[in-house]
Order: sequence, then C-alpha cells, then structure tokens
Amino acid sequence: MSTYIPVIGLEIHAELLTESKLFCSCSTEFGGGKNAHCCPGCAAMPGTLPAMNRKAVEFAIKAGYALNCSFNKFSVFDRKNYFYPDLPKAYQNSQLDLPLCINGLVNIEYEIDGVKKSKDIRINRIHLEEDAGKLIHDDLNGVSLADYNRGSIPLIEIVTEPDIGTAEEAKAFVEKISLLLQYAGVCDCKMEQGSLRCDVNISIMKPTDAKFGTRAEIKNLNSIKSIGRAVEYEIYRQERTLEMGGKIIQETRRFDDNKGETRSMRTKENAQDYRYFPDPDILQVNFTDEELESIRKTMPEMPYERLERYKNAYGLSEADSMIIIGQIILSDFYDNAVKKYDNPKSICNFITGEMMRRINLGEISLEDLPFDAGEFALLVQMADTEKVSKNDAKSIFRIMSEKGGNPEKIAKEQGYLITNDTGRVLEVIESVIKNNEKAVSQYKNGDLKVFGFLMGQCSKELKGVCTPKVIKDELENKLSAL
Amino acid sequence: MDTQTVKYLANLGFLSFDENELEKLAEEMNGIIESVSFVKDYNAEYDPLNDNLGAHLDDLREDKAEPDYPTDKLMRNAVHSENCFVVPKVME
Amino acid sequence: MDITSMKIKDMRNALDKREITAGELADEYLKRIPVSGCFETVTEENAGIAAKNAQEAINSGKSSEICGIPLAISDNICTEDVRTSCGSKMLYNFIPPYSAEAADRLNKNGAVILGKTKIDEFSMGNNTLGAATAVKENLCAGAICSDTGGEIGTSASACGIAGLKPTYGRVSRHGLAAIASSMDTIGAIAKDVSGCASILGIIEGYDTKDVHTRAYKDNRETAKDIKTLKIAVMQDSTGPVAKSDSTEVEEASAFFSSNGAEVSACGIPSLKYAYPSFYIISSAEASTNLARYDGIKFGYRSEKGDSYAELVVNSRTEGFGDEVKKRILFGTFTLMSDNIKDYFYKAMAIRQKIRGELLSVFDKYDAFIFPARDSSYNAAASLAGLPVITVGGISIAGRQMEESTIIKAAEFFEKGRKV
Repeated sequence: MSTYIPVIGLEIHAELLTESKLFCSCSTEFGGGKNAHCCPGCAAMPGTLPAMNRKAVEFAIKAGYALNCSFNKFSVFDRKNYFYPDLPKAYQNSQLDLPLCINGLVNIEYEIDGVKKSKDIRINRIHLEEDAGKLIHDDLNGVSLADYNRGSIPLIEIVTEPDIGTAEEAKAFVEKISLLLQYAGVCDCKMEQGSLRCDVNISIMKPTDAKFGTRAEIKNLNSIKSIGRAVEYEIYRQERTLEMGGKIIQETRRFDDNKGETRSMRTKENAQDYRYFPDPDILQVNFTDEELESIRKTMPEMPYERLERYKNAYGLSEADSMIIIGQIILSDFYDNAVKKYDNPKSICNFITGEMMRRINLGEISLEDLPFDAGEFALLVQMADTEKVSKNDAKSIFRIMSEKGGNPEKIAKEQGYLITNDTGRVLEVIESVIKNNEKAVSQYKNGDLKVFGFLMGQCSKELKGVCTPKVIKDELENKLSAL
Repeated sequence: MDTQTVKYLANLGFLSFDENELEKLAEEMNGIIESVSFVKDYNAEYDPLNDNLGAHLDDLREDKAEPDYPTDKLMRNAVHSENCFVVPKVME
Repeated sequence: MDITSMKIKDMRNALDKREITAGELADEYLKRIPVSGCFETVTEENAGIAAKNAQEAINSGKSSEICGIPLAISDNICTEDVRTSCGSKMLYNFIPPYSAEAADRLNKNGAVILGKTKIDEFSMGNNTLGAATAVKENLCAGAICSDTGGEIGTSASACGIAGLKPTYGRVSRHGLAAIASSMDTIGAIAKDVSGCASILGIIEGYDTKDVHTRAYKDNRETAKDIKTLKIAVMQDSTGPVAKSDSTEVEEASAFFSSNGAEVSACGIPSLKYAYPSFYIISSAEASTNLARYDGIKFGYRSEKGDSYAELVVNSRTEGFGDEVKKRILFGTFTLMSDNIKDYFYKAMAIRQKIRGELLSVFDKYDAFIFPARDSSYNAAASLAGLPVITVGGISIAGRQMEESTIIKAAEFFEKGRKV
C-alpha cells in the first residue's frame, strides 16, 4: 500500500466542429493538399487581421453547459507570445484571465475490483484558443516542413482542478468528457485522429504534507489506454524517485507507447515569459443571460438524463442503457425507433444484439446507415408480432444493412412473410414423415435427437410460412399420433 | 537595466547583439525607461471592462468556409518545398 | 498653371471638362518622379492602365471624386503584385498577393496610383513622410499613409500642406503592416483639406476584414456650422516640439472667435502622461506585431542559420534596423511579467483616464485645437482614437466619427486664412 497520494490534473484540447477556422474563413476540412486551406492571414502576412468565428464561441459555451460551468459574461482573448515554426504570427491567441467558462463539475463513474465508484471532478476553466500548424520532419535533409492547414483551427482547452487520484479516474474522466462533448455536438472526440488531446499534470504527496509536490507534465497521449498507462508509470516513477532520496523536477515529459514509460522532453521551455496581454485586434465578446439561455436551449438531452429515462421509464438494464447512451447518434436512433414502435425493451435488444454485432464487425456504421429508425422499428415490430420469424428477421436485417430497403418489402420478396397456412404446414409435415420412415421409426423408438433432423426438413420447405414453434408443435402432434 | 537584461529581452524577441551593442542598448534603454517610468506613480488601475466595445455573438463572423486560397500564391514569397514552408530543424 | 500643383478638386474639374485626359495628367507626374527621392517604387505601367480605365469612366460620366487623380500610397500599405517594403530590409523583396482594403477602394474608384512612397522603417522614425514631401513637391496630387501617433499631421505641417488622420476604425486597417494595433489608422494627405476629404470619402467605411470598422458612422449630415461651433484651444503642453506652431494656434483661435465660434482655453489634467503611455503601448503592441517577421513565410531570410532559432535570429538581426530593434526591446520590456503591471497596464490605465478627460472636453466643446507638431496632444488624440485634421500649422481634433465637423471647420480656416 503506497504512502503517497497522487494529485492529478488534466488539460484536454478538443478541436471544434466548425466549418471555418477561428479567425478566417479557411476550411477546417481534414485532408486536402498541404497548406491548401490557408490564406494570407494563416501565414501571418502583413496587415492581415482576425475575424472571430461566431460558432466557435457558441460551441465553447455549449461545452461549458455540458460540463456544468458558469460563464464570464465579458470575456477576453489574449496574445501568448513565443517563437516556434508551427506558429506563424509568433503569438497564439488564447484566453488568460477572463476565459469563457469557469467553475464546472463533471461526475465520473468507474469500477475497481467489481466495486462501483463515483467521484466529482471540478473544472477550473474552458477557454477558446487556436491550434498551431504541423511540422513534418525531413531528417534526411535536416529540415522541417511547415503545413499551416491545422493552424488557427478553433480548440477549446478544458482544465481540471487536481481532483483526479488514479489512472482509472483519469481514463474515466476523459471518456466522460468525450461523451459530453459529443452530445453537445462540439467535437467528434477522435483521439486517434487528434481531435481530442490530453496532457496530464501529476505530482505526488504524503498525506501529512502541507503543499502539493512538484509536478511533471506529460504530453503526447493519444489514446485512453495511453493515458492510463502513462499515469500509472509516472506515479511509479515519482514514488521510486522520492523513495530513493531524489527530487522531482518540474518538467515536460513525453510518453513512450512502446516502452510504457515517460521520458523527459524540453526543460528550458518552462522558463518562457509569454507576455500575455489582451489582443487589441479582437472584438472581446459579451453575453447577456438571455443569449446564454438561448444557447442552452439548443443543447440536446444529455447522457445522464437519457440514462435515467431508459432505466426508469423504459425499464432497461444499466448495462444496456450504457450501451445505448454510449454514442448520441445511437441514442437518437433508439429514441426515434421507439417513437415509431413503442416497445423500448424489444428495440433495445435488437440494437444491443444484431445491430451492435454488425457495427462491431465493421459491416455498418452509425454515421452512414442505409436504413432509418422507422424502418428499423418496423422490422422489430414484425418480429415481435410474428409477421416473420426471429431468424428471418435477422436475415432481413442483413439485407437492410447491405443495401437498405423497407423490411416489409424485403420480407415479401424473400418469401419470409409468415402466412400461417395451416394446410400447407400439415401437408409438408405429412410429406416429410412419409419420406423419412427410418428417422421416424428411430424417433418412435426413443431417439429424441432425430427430431431435430425432421424439424430441419420441415423448416426447409416451410421457410417463412410459419414460425418454428408452430412447426415444432405440429410435428410433435403428428409424430405422437403415429 | 544591465546587459544581462538586454540579452534576455533580445532572446525573447529573437534578436542578437554583440557585447558593444548590448552596452550601448542598455544605456539607451535606461534613457527611455527613465523618461517614461514616472507613469508608475499614476493613481489608477486598468479596468478591462472599460475597454468593452459591447460586441455580442451576432457581431462576430458567421461560420462559413470559403474556397481554398491558391497555394502557389501563398508560397511565392517563401522558400518552399512540396507546398510547405521550409524551416531548418528545430533543436530540442 | 502647372497642373501638377493643382488641388484635387480643381483637377477633378479639369478632367470632367475634358481639359486634360487622365493619361496626360498621369504622364505629367510620372516624368517628374524618377528624379526625386521620396518614392520607393514607381508603378508606371499600372498607372497607365488605371488612367485608361479612369478616362473611360470619365467619358461615360461615371467618375468618382478621385477618378483619374494621380495618387501615391505609402510603402507600409500592401499593394497587390507591387513590392511593399515598409521601409525595411526585412521586407525588401515582399510582393503581397493582396491589396490593402484602402488601396483596393482607391483602385476600384479610378484613382491612378503612381507608386509607393518612402517611410521610416515601419514608420518608426521622426522623418517627414515621403508622401507629404511628394505632395509638396507636386509629385502626386494626394496620398494615403499610416498614422499611429500623429505622423500625418506632423508631416503635413512640416510641408505646409493638409493631412487627415481619421477616427480609429473609420478606415479599414486591412493590409496596413501593423505597428500599434489599437492606434494605427490609414489617413490622407493632399494639398488642401477638401483633397483629404475626397480621398477619405473613398477609403472609409465598414470592411468585414477589419472588425473594428463596425463602429463606422457616416455622420456627414451632422457637421456643425462655424457660428454654432464651440472650440477648445488646448493649453500647457509639456511634450517635445511643444512651442513651435503655437503662434499659429493663437492666430487660429482669434480667427475662429472673430467669425462667431465660441473659443476658450482648455486642458486635460493627465496631459504629461499622454506621450509616455502612447510610447509604452505602441512599443508593446509593435513588439508582438513585428514578431511574425522571421524570413520563413516571406521577407528577408538570412544565409546563415543551421537551426530554426539561429536562422530566425539572424534574419531578424540582419533585417531590422536599429530603431525598430530598440522599440522591440523596449516593448518586450513593458510586457515582461515583472514589469507589465507597472508599465503596460499602467499605460493602459492612463489611456482610459485620458479618454475620459477628452470625453469631458467634448461635453463642452465640439472640437479642440493644438499645435500640429505637439507630441503630447498628438499622443492623446491617438490614445483616444480621435480624428485629427491638420492645415496651416494647426491640428483640429473632433469627436469619434465626427470628421465632417472638423473638416468643415478646417476648410473654413483654410479659406479665411488663405493658407
């Protein structure tokens, strides 16, 4: 049992889903040629000026609502001055003393050894800033190539208080933030693509210490898993350093994914005087209570509220509800389906079963479904009301997944519609019994396993005519009558 | 202000000077600072709200992407390669 | 009469009456220019094309006030495909792919741009603007140039011509190489006040590329008549270059007074702090505005430098002159964490106070007069973003966006005093 308490704070950068950049109308589209989405302003040419993107500010406020923040009704953008080749103006626009959002709170839930834990993490601030460009290193020629496409793309920076204590909490927090920002519609939170980035500040202290320990900052974490591993390693490294009588240096470290270790980066950067001051080129923005409220009204129902609704009103299990709320696009799909066919449990089962299976296999993606919620709901209803058998419903779903279409139409075309033509059923059963004398006598002699074979023969012929249950009952009847 | 400080300022501003220049600059800086430093005694504090121009969300630019700016025009005043600005390697 | 010595309004007349063509007019100027030292670049070919187009507009009766008028643009205002050096080695080879909005509006309205006039490096010296010399020596009929702390008024006064620095935000700053972002303006220089007003009328107005132009107001209708004008004559200047031109101010106040305006002496309590705060704020802003010049995206790039830092340091050290470097160092000093409260934020506090004091002056008066080359009052007017018109050795400052009042007063003064 460790004698040290880890004290962890996170800084998360999220790229906002705006069409244009923060200060100009260049496209934020991913891809395209190098420097294709750059104007003279992006290259900091003389006389170019910033024109702030309204949507970026609105998205930052939405993020604030998602994280339960308060707002600075007068907010200021500053210049943060330093030289680096990915920063054409040699200053980054950010917010120092008066950020847009302050004093938020995010609740996280996670499990340790099967025990559910819940914790509130305080948010110090969310501010709006611009991203830097990208440097491509050409070691062969000893140069770097600067591409400013990413430069000036709007980012929000979310800074927590140092309330996080373990790797599990850190991971749970980033997952929760990711979910909340997705729901707020402001970021797609794809860590692997870089639209969500996480820096971790860690220090450790003894319970008896009066102050926090010296902290190290870990950058270059690009997956939830890396965050967990980096935090674990760093706690271990700091504990070991102190145990051996060493000191923790305030520094920036990067995480080596292969080795699972953190290593020191540039130390001289910490001495930088950024000379922050309010940017005179920027129109500093005000909000009235009404303006804030009208933004809040555009927020969708948030995940926690949906979770409660699914559990309480629909009687879904915690596990199933968690799956459905896991992505807003899925939850919206679910809600729309339930609107069309009011059987929440049934629809949930089909989603968590068949649909998730195909999604996980990569056969379909939620962003690009070839069918809509109404068509999906209809299929589930058809299965429930025995208009098609449950197996055939899966087949219909496979066809819908491949090329879309209306389930009723597909059922008709494929002959899956259950007609419950009793005459035909008896006809087929009699025919199967007549043509399989050997199997029938085996069954009469007590070999129950043969029943399956006989069932199979009947089902083949009776595809879509009736449900398997009907075949089974009728077959049993006929056989027992012999 | 001494030459150490001038050197520090020069570093922040990505400029370099030799010892002679640093000495001369230190003198000149001192002269300027002396002529303005009486502002320190002025009895007032800066109030950011006083510089508020009353801009609201509607005064800001609408979020619309415009067609790409021609990259060759962007690059023509620079040393470039493969449509990127060429920068000597950054020392870590 | 030598046409190149004409005022813009008289030239307009001559052109519209077909007494001379735009091409002939441009040629009159162009044959004089190469001999002089106040043009950095002469754009003969462009001028020829512009003159041709202007003449077409004149022929079809669609000429703006400056259509066909040969003008110049100072070299810190970007002109598309025409070298814009800002008077600096750092931009010796910079060919902007865009024009400043103000330059663009001149072009669109038929002005014949003869070339780019010389300025001190990034306008940071004390020399007379090349544009003012050019107008004085009949090398162009008028010009647009930048004004951060009164350069237009000072230069116009030194050359005995007229200059107009508009309200901050009246004219788009797009394309003007930024020095002090919160105080830079683009203004006009011409032989007389009406020439300045004609140029202003074309370049002013809202531009989406400069968000501060949202404050633009035309206010042409509200120009006050001389008999209802209340003028303050500013006292007690303690700044450098204070006492010269002051006799002109005395004579001006007597002139206005005798013509029915209400004239009285006035002052602002914080005057002595105006120039130091102006200097601090403009240096601070300039130090960050000049940081983009690194030779990487454009501009002078040193031959020496194996690493990014080395290359950029060398480019900037070789590319910038002494005055600019000094301002960068001092500006950086005022923003350093140890000093920012005592210097930068103190200067910003003083600025707020001075703005307030000048607003009080405008409670009682419609305009105030000061000696054109007075650095304290020029600084105060710049800190408060006020419009200033200079003619005959005096400067008249007005409320924000009330150019029409000060232009009217200045024209009256000009006519009556026959400056």
